[in-house]
Amino acid sequence: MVGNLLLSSIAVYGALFGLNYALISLGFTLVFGVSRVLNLAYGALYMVTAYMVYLFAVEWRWEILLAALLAIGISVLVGAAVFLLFSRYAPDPMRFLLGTLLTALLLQYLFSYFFQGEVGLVIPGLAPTQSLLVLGVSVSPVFLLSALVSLALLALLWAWIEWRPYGRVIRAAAEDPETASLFGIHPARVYLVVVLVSSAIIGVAAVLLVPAGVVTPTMWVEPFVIAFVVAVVGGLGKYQWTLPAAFLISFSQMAVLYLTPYDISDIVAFVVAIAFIVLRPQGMGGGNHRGL
Amino acid sequence: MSALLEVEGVSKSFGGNHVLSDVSFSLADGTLALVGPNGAGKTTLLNIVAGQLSPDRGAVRFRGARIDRLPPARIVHRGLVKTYQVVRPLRSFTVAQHIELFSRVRGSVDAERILALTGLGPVRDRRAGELSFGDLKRLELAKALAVNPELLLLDEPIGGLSRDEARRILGSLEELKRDGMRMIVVEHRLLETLSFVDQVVALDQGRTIFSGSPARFFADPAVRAAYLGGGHAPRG
Amino acid sequence: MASDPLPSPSLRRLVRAAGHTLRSRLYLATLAVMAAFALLADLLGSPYFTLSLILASLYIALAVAWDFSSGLTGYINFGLPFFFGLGAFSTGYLVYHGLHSIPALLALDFGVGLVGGGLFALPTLRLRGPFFTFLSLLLPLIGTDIVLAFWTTFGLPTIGYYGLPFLAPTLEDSLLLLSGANALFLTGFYLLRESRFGLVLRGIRDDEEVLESQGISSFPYKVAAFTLSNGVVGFAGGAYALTTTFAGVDAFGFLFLLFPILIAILGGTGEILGAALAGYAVILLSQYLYLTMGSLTLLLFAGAAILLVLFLPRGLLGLLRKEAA
Ligand SMILES: Nc1ncnc2c1ncn2[C@@H]1O[C@H](COP(=O)(O)OP(=O)(O)OP(=O)(O)O)[C@@H](O)[C@H]1O
Ligand SMILES: [Mg+2]
Repeated sequence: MVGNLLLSSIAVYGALFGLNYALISLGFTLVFGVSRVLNLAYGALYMVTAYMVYLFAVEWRWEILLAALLAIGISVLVGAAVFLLFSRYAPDPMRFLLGTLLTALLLQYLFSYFFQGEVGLVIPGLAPTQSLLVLGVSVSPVFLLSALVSLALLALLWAWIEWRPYGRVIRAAAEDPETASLFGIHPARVYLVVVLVSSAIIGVAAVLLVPAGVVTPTMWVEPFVIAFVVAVVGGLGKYQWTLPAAFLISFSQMAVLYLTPYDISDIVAFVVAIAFIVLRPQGMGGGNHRGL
Repeated sequence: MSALLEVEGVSKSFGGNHVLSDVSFSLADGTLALVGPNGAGKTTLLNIVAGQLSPDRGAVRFRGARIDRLPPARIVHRGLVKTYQVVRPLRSFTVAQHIELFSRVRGSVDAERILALTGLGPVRDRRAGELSFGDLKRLELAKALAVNPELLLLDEPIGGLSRDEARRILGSLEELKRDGMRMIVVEHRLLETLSFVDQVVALDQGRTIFSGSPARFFADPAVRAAYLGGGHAPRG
Repeated sequence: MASDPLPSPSLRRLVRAAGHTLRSRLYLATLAVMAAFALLADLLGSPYFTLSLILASLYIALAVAWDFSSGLTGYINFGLPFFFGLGAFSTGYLVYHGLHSIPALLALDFGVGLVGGGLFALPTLRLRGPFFTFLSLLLPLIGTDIVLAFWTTFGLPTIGYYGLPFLAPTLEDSLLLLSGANALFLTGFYLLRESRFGLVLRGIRDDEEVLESQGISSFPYKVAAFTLSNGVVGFAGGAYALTTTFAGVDAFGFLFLLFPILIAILGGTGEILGAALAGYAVILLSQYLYLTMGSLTLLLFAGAAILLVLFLPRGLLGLLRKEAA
């Protein structure tokens, strides 16, 4: 009986965490896949959204849905501004990396300064707070809702890129921007569109997931590490491999958590990532070619 | 005696586009010109010989030993070095620093001699980023000479230069030839190039269409067909 | 003719070249500035000033080390705080296991940095620059997690090592020791920069592929540079723990990345000496500003670093050099 509960815990939490990891990493991988830039300020957008929700919903007491939508909007604006600034003035990859990391730090210090330092703040969520039972395992509705949204967004994004006419434009700009521009596509514009979409996705992730945790100035690190590890495992830029990679990590974590006495989820994720870096640097998706 | 360089049945395609099909030639000594219309596959062939690309099929031997699976740096250590068609200097390095950096790759060389031979003496302390195009072309040659090669692969050493500038580099190449340097020269400027090489290999659409002496080159029907019949006119 | 103490002619040439390099005016001026600050601290006897200079010395060690590997090659290393924290924690670990000799501790921290740096460099430096940089960021991000997991797994009581011995009996002595160590690092890195090794590193920044196609495999040079650089970072981490007498997760903080990078860029990327000079300016200014505006200082310096990356990536010295040319 205990064995059954263990297995269903691994299954349920593995699936939930995997979907949530995918939600967090999707935008990062997508932006890299299309525009070949590694945006290190990505995790900071998660933080921006969370602080904005706090400001609107807690300090200013707005309706949570309105606060959430506005916060996501701000995440999108900040994401676009950072991308435009650095791709215009620091376009070489190294300076872009440096600039976007420094931006994450700047935002960290900014929030630390304006929102009472390191103290953890709490924001309201969209999901009910009563726990549910799934396969005999107690699950927070917060994670359930975000997992469902993750699934929906993954499907929508996939359909958009693979089936819609604009998806073809995105794929063309990702594969060969020079040739694409001969056909009247403006790669820079496509990149911007993708950055807007990805900033919205990470904003949605923050609105859904942060209520289960706290808002602090260093909270950008955690989603960033997740996006980072998932991107490495799936293969940088291979957005289709986001979910398989996220599952590989989440199920490994849950297996170690429930089958061994160690509580070392972060280390497990890290070890999986290192194993890929050393043994299969191209990730699960394989191939080194440009494009999605 | 086995040849210095042997290229044997080399083929290469990029995503279904056959750029080289079964190309063979060998060089025992002296100088060889590798010619052909734009897109014939000359640069691709040099890249394969220098190890920057690997062939799909075929073999490259240098002094009898296979080199087609070696990394470029190892091939240079064996004594074979290639210049780039589009100049590729180290932008923050001065001319003298280029020679200094590479001069210890294969035993020491006389930097002064290289500067004198390429005529770069007056700009020896200028950074590559500040040089004229002609100087950059000369630097491309000086940089290759700095590794003290036994066989020099030159990809369009006079491409894009004025007649006078081209003559200066050709003068350097002739001097090198007198000193016994072996060279493979890729060029579009046939008259200037063929006047100092011993052997010509012509490619067209990735196939060898001619291999022989410069004297026979212009009379060869396949060459005439490739250059005149195909709508391509020889440049220069 | 007097007999030459160096029998080998190549060794003699090397020593002569080193002597020539070290007669550079900027190098001598940098050493003079370092000595002057150590002396000034002694004269003033103000603890805050001396402590600020100690901090400056630690950041200078980091900045110079970073500038040597990352500034010269263009392979930006974000792993700095990790190797810094590694040095700090290994100090704590060793002290708790009975090692109390300061020189031995610092030497071992250097060794830990070397080994850790080398182990990280070997698989990652096979990748192209941006991917290396990206991966190097993982280390400081998970440094804290590793330590926390280590502690909870092995059931150790507190997070960090307390009550470590002081680097030296007085603050002034600590500063002197660190200034001496910095002089050593600076001299070493500067000599290497001016040698053929440094030329290869600079070549990597300009065009790595050209090096390969001209017979120079860049990989061993990169690994050597990063290993050496992280040795110094490990040393600085150990010295930091021995200054604060505490080794905790704060040693993995991004401050130990932000300031070294800011200093190195301001001093001119790859210039080595510029980083030492800029280090005093930046840290003393930040310490002064911190007194008046507290944590707003960090915001200011992060902003300044971004502006540098955007508009003055080669730094002040780089700019001066360009103007002079
Ligand atoms: N990396 C590559 N990927 C795809 N196609 C390539 C690649 N390199 C070369 N090609 C194609 O191979 C053919 C031969 O190119 P190559 O540069 O070898 O010709 P070339 O004889 O040197 O021409 P040119 O005289 O213009 O320098 C061209 O059609 C080119 O487009
Ligand atoms: Mg060519």
